This record gives sequence, structure tokens and C-alpha cells, in this order.
Amino acid sequence: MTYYRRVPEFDYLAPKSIGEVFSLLGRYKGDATLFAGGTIALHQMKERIGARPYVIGLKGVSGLDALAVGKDGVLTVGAMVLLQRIADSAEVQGGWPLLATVCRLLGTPQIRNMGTIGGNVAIRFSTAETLPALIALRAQVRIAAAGGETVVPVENLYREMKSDNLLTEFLLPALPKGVRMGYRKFAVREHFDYATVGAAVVLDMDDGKTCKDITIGLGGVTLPTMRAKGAEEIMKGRTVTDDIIAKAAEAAAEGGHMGSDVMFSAGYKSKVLKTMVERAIKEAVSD
Amino acid sequence: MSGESLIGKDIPRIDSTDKALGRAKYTTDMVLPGMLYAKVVRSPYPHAKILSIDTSAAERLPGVKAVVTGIKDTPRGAVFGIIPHTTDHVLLPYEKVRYVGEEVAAVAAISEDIAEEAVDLIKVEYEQLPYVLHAEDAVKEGAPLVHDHRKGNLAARYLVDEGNIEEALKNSDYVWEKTFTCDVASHGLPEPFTVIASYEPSGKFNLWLQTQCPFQTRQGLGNTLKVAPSDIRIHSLAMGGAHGGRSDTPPGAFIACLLSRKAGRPVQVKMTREEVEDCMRDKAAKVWNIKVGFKKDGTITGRDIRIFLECGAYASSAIVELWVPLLIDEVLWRAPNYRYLADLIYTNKTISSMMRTRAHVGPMSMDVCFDQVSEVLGIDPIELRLKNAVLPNEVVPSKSVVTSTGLSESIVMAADKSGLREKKGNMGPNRGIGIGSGNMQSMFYMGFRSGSTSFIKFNDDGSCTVFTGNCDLGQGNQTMFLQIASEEIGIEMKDIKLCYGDTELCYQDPGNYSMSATVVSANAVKKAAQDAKRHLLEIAGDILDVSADEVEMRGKEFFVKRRIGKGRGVKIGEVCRTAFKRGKPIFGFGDYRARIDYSDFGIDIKEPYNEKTYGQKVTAYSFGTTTVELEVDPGTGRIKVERIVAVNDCGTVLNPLLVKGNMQGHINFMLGQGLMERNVWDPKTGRKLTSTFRTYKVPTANETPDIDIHFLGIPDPDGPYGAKEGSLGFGCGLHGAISNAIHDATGVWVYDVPITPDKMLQLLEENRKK
Repeated sequence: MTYYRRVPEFDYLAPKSIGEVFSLLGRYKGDATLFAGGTIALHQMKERIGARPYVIGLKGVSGLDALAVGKDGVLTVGAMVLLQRIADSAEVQGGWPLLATVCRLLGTPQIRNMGTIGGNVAIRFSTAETLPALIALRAQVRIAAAGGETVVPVENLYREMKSDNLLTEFLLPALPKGVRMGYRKFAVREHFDYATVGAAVVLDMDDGKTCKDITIGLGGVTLPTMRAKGAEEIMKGRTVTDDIIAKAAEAAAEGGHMGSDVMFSAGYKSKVLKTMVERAIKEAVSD
Repeated sequence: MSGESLIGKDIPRIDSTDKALGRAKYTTDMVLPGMLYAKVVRSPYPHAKILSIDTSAAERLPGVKAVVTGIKDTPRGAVFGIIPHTTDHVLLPYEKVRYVGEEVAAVAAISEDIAEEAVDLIKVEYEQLPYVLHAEDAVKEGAPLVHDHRKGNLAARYLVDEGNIEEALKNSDYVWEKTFTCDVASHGLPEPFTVIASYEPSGKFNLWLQTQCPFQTRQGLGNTLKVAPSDIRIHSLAMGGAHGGRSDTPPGAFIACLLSRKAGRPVQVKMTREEVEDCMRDKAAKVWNIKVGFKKDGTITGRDIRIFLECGAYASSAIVELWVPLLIDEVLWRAPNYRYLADLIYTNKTISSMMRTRAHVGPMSMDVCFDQVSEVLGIDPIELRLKNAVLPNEVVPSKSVVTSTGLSESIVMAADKSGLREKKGNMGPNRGIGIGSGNMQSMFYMGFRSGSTSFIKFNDDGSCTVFTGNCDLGQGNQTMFLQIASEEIGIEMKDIKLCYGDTELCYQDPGNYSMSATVVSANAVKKAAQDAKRHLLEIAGDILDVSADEVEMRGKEFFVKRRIGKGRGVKIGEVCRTAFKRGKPIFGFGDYRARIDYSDFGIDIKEPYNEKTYGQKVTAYSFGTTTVELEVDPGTGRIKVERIVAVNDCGTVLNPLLVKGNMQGHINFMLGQGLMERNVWDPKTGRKLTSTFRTYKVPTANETPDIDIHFLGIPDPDGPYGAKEGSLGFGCGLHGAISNAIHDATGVWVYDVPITPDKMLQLLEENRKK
């Protein structure tokens, strides 16, 4: 019978550069784990999930905390940028408000001031709340490995990221003018709670009536089903009506795979996901 | 003092600044020199025989100072239970384990890490036994027996049968019948259970732990350790929550004592969150069947209550779950014919015990009943309630007299202040309003512990110290005791110190066990303060050369009444010093015994037990009514409570600021249990799956609705200055109010709590199909 326990003893390693991170990972092979904000990792270590004798802290690694818009209009968010900093950033609020909203609704001020966007994504939970928004925003992510680096869409991260990879930054393309966004999450508590399910929507409409383009990211579903492509197809090129939104939401809920958890059955979660998608699209329409 | 009364004034809690700034000292903060850290080996099985325990490897581990097991160290025949019938809990068992997480062995080491390592080295051999997790399965023929000698897993039965209920229901114009249910709920205490035991070679145990009732804990430990209670000293510190969950004699305290005695050093047992949730106490799940007979004019002819409660593994203190719902249910609504039959059923789960909201299904059932029956009989639901509400000096079925009640007034005021009549049915789609009433005891019968004794000693500088065996769970008792002492003596609160909850220095007190702090403990403090004041006036009179009744206190000085403003007075410090010189220091003594005329309540419970259940069981009852306005989300089933009007009949309001704070806390507690808190067990392993705050969701400050509080201020004849319990009774009808508001919002009736979003959505879907 194991109960939640004290954090096991470990050596804390504090590399200064990405190169050093990989040389430490190489030296300690399977005995080292990466540590970003620690808001999830510490819990897991207490539960003896992935606890290892060496912890590589990323706090001092240079080049992981950029938050800036480039000349090409692309927003770069370093993996170690704090969630609260994203929520508070005027640039993010202005150009990518969906991401700011998601970060603002995540956890508590204490968690947002410790947790990082890279950590939230790298943990690869279906409940990682930044993932649906990054997917809806068609974000790319730079993955560093011992032998070099690649840039992949966040929605493919689940199959592209290997253990001992390091996420270094997220690249969010500039959005077309007039694009609309919506985000809804369902949790038992409105604040200070994990999203059971959620939906992030980026919508581009022609003449205010027709859906020119849409991306929908789902939360609380398995990683490969986080992008609701079926629902997007139903919407694209169609006049946006309550009926078509309901159809898209239904398709999204059907496409998002999820299991039952301690609190809710998969059947209930699916129904609520449909509601969240429907509301997120409607929010985007009226954005 | 200017002579202005402190009663009814907003007085901030004396400990609030320290708590807000993180300076308050809790048991979890304490470290004693040479202290060892203990960890406990716990059962992985819900039901198993303990065959053998091998501790040799743990004992060899460097840094381990003591190891205890039930087989070697538990005194035989020393079993915990709050009444003889329920002495069924061996605090460190040696024969059987009966729930996942039950204590089996423990180690004390020089660090927590070594203790954790040592725990892994202890090998326990079990023989697994079939187990049963739910009462409905436990009563079935052939179900595994949690305790071999309790057939049908019936831990205890309780019956009150007054009048002729069968006949009354047969002759009624209308009989309403329903079944209500509620899940197991947790206390969710923020401060994890911690105890430090320090054994002295003289044979004395010193303990620091979070307990609501130091004297009962001392008695329980004495019984189980087989030592005299006076060889145990319990110290009280600031406490991070209680809600009834710290009223027992916890196994952790027993284990700390065994380890400390063995190691000869202080030992700390500190539980993790999961241990607290799995291995402390829960509130029993209930099935509440109710029949209510009505005449055409709305008068209740009789009520028939049949309930089943999940006891968990031991009835030791779960027994209170049997009779406390009665103490609420029989009081609110008049019933000339009344039957209450309750069964407590053993299961292989966390032990049930005291919790502040334990009886909510009872009041809820009646508020739903009134709203439903009002439509059948064509009577206004408020009028229907008022017709049946208990009135002052009425006698309840089991023969307690209700000495004060503002139930009717609270219903009328809550309906008025909330605009219930205008709003009902008119709040728009998915929004609704509902009303519910509740009540609570101030001091129920606890044998010779139904009284409290307090004393006050004066120091040579004119300050004094109040001694009370009561303690403070966070509801503000310390402030209340100082306020009352200040009111009676006439010196400022800052000049009064408090020594509380120390079983060595203070007299016997019921503790915070039956909502007794105000009516019993504070009455004792009041009498002690009056006694001390008498002594002060006598000595001052002697110095001033007049009789005591000619002396008046102004500020910190005593004057001859007729010469006030003319002559010199004598300062309080001088009075105290004079008293010392005379060998009779200023001292005050006060004792208060609850007005209870009932010698056998619960003490000799049998199966079934229907004798001796009559008499005055409770000193005073508090009442109150709440209305709830809420919105139901038709897409998720989530309920958002927007506004609550709460009317509290708690007698004289001693300190409105403090009572309001308690009421807000209680409302949040009730909302959590009504809407989100749910425990789940894994049927395959018998383990609780909701042992952390990630899975057991409790409300935070964010969930607090707009709360509008009103007081009736009807004084109680027994309470100090007319005060009675003020934090719970008013809100016990909140779940009924929620249920009625949901019906107003959606047309759906709810009979099961918590009303979680998934349950609500399902009810909405079923309703749409109709």
C-alpha cells in the first residue's frame, strides 16, 4: 500500500545552456528528468511516477524565456515563459487573445507564477489546458534533441516528441485580420480547477456570415484527437447557423476520444464537450 | 470600561491576524527536541486476517528507534468506542483489518525518509477475506460479515415510536412517500492530522494533537492504552479545520503513544493528504425513506422515517450517526404520531463519524415534501410549513421540550427578504428559487461530560487568566470566552489571557462535540467571571472601608458608588496584591450543567432499542431558514448558486461579525456537499479513489455566492445572555432549498445529494424525454 509520500531524494542539476542540458541527459541516461515549473512534476515525484535520482532544472537555461513578436509577425513564446506572464502580456492579449485567456483561466495565481507553457505541453496530459489553444492557433513548436532540432505543428507533437527531447519555443503565426476566437472549459469549479473538457476555436468569417476557415482544439481528449478536423470540415465554406454549429459540435464530440475518470463517465464528458464546442464557436462568432 | 456592553458588538477574532499572517502555530509546526518521525504500515486490503508481521529488517535499519505492531504492542481487550455497545475498534489491530488503509504496524525513526524506508521493510502476511462496500449489499443474505458477531452487518439500531404511526397514516387524507439518498462525504480538513506524543519515565504521556474534545480523547486513549486518563495530558493549539472530524480518539495518537513509550523519545505521526482522507473519518452515506400523512387542511398526522446508514468498518463513534439525525428530524415539524427507525450497517470502508452536516437529508426531505404536497392540497407552501412548524415550549416525540424557537419567524423573514413569492416561477429559463429550514442542538446528552467547569485566576498586576477545557476549532471560541469574561469582570479583553483545552490545567469540558461551546462552556466562563468579580468587589470594599455592594468599578479602578467623581479609588492591581497578602488571591469558579433530564440516552443501546429513549436530550435548539437562488446550466448540468438569504435563530447574537463568518463558512461547506463533493471506491480493490483534492473537489472562496444574513435575536432561556448554537442549524435546510430551487428552475425534482453536474444533466435529459 503506497500512499502519497515525501519527495524522494534527488540531485538538482542546473545547466546554463541547451547544450549542457543534452550533455547531462547523455551522461545520466535514464536516471535524469527534466524540470520546468515543477507544478506537476513535484506531485508525480511524490507519487513515485517518473521519479529519478537526477533532476535537470531548466530555470537557468538561457534562450528559453523569449516572449516577442518578430518582423514576420510571428509570436515566439519560449518554453520556460511563465503562464502568468503570457496571460498578462499586452502583445499576446492583442494578437493571440485566445492564448492569454487560456493561461488566465489555468490553475491559480501561485500555479501560473510557477508553471511554464513548455511544462504544461511537455507533460502531454489530455488535460493540459494550453494544448487546445496552441492547436487552434496553428502553433509550431521547436523540439531540440541531442542531434539537432526540428519544428513541427503542436498538433503533431504527440508523435514527434521523444523522451529526452526538449521543447524550446512555440511559434504562433500572425492571424488574418478580423479573425475571431472562442474558448470554453468545463471544470467542477469555475476557477482553480483542471478542465475536464474544453474547446478552443479560431474562426475566420467572410462577410460575417460564411466560415472561411476554422480550427478547433479540444481539451480533455486523447492527444491524437485534439484537433477536431471533422468538425472543421463541416463548418468550412458554410453559412454559420445555430444548426451547423450544433452539427460541428456533435462531430467534434464524436471525434474526441476520452475515457471515464474518477469523477465523470466518458459518456457525460462527451456530452459536455459538445456543449463546450458549441459555445466556443458561438463565442467566436460574436467575438 | 465605560460600562458599555460588549454583547452584540462586532469583535474581531483575537487570533485572526496571526492566522492571516501565517504566524499562528499549528500542531504541524511543532518540533520537540529529540523528536522522532513515525510512519504507518497500512492495509492494502479492505478485509483480511493478519497472519504474521515480520519487522526484523525494519528494526535493523540504522536510524529506526522503535517499531510497533498490533500483535506485539496493542494491550488486549483495550477497544475504543464511545459507548459500551460500540467498543469494536482496536486502534492498532492484531487479528483483522477491515478497510483499506487501516493501521497494521508503525515505525519511529530519526527522519521521515528513514521511517518511510523502514515501512517498506515490514512484511505483513494477510489472508484476504471477501468484503462489502455498500450498505445495500451488506444487509443481503450471505454478505461477508465485517464483524463476525454482528449478524446482517447490523452495527446498531435505534427506534423512537410515539403514537400509532400505522393507524395515523391509514386515516390520513393524503400520504406522501419518498426515498432520499446521500453519498459519503469527507471533512476535507486543510491541516493534515498530526500528533506528537512524548512519554516521560514517570509514566506520563504529553500529547499535542488537533482534537475538538480534549477530555474525550484523553479518556479514549486511557482506555485503549490501559493507563489512567490522568496519566495523559492533552495540549491544544491552533487548528486547521475540524467540522466534527477531530472528535474521535485517533489511531495515530494511540500509535504515537506506543512508539514514544518504546523509544523513550517524543514521536510525531503526521498523515499525508491521502492518509487523512482514507484513514480518518467520513460522513455516512444514507438512505432516508419517509412517509408523511396529511389532513386536507395541511396538518401533519404522522411521520414515518426508516433509514439506513453506512457505518464503515467500526461503529466506535459512528454510532452518533444513528441518533443525531433524530435530534434534528423530530424537532422541526410537529408530528403527533412519529416513528424513527434507523439501522447502522457495517461496510469495509473508512469509518463514519461526526460531521457538521450529517443530517441534511432529513430536513431536505421535508422541504421537498412541503413544496410537493402544497400543490396536491392546494395550500400555499409557506402556509403549509407554518401550520406544522414547532412552537416554543412544545414537546417533541421523544419528549424533549423546545424552550426557544424562531422557526416560523425565520420562514416568514427568509421568504420576505428573498422575495420568494414574487420570484418563484418568474426567474426566467433555468433559474429558480427555493426555501429550506433546519435546526441543530446546543448540547446533547453526554453523561457527566454534559457540563463544563471554568475558573479564573487574577495576577498581581490586575490582569487575569481564564481556564477552560474547551478549545477553538477556528469558530472563535477563544474570542467568545474573553468577550464574556470582559463583559462580566469589566476589564478589557486585552488584559485577559486564556488557557484552553489543556487537560492538566483545566477542568472537564464536553469540548466542541455537541455544539456545546456557547451554551455550556461559555456559561461556565460567565459564572467564573461573576464569581471573580464578587471577590474583587469584596476586597476593594475592604480597602475602601465599605461593603462590596457599595463599590463600583470604573476602568481599572474601584470607587465607592456614592463618592464617584469625588474621592480617590483603588486600582485593580492593588486589590489583587492585597488579596495575595491576605492569602486569598482573587479567584473565580464557575460550573454549568446542561439542562438535560435523560440518564440513559445512547449509553446502553441494544438491537432493537426502544426503551428509555424518552426525556430531555438537548438543552437548546437553534433554527433557521435559507433561500437559494440558482441557475442550472442545461448544457452541462452544473448548478451555480447566485444568492442566499439566511435567517438565523441563534438566540442573542453575542458577536455578529463572528457568527456571520461562521455562517458563510457553513454555507460553503453545505454547498460543497450539496453540489460537488463525492467519494468513490474502487469495487475491484476496495480502495477510495477520491483521496486527494484533485479528485475530491471542495468549493473555494470563488464559489461563495452573494449571502444576505439576518438574525431573529429571540433569546434562549438557558444560553449565556440568551445565546445558542449559531453556525449550523440555520443552514441545515440548504439542500432542501437547493432541491426546491432546481425544481423551480427546471421542473425536475432531486432526491439525491450531492447534485453533481452529471446527475443533474441526466435528470434534465430524462425530463425532456417525458
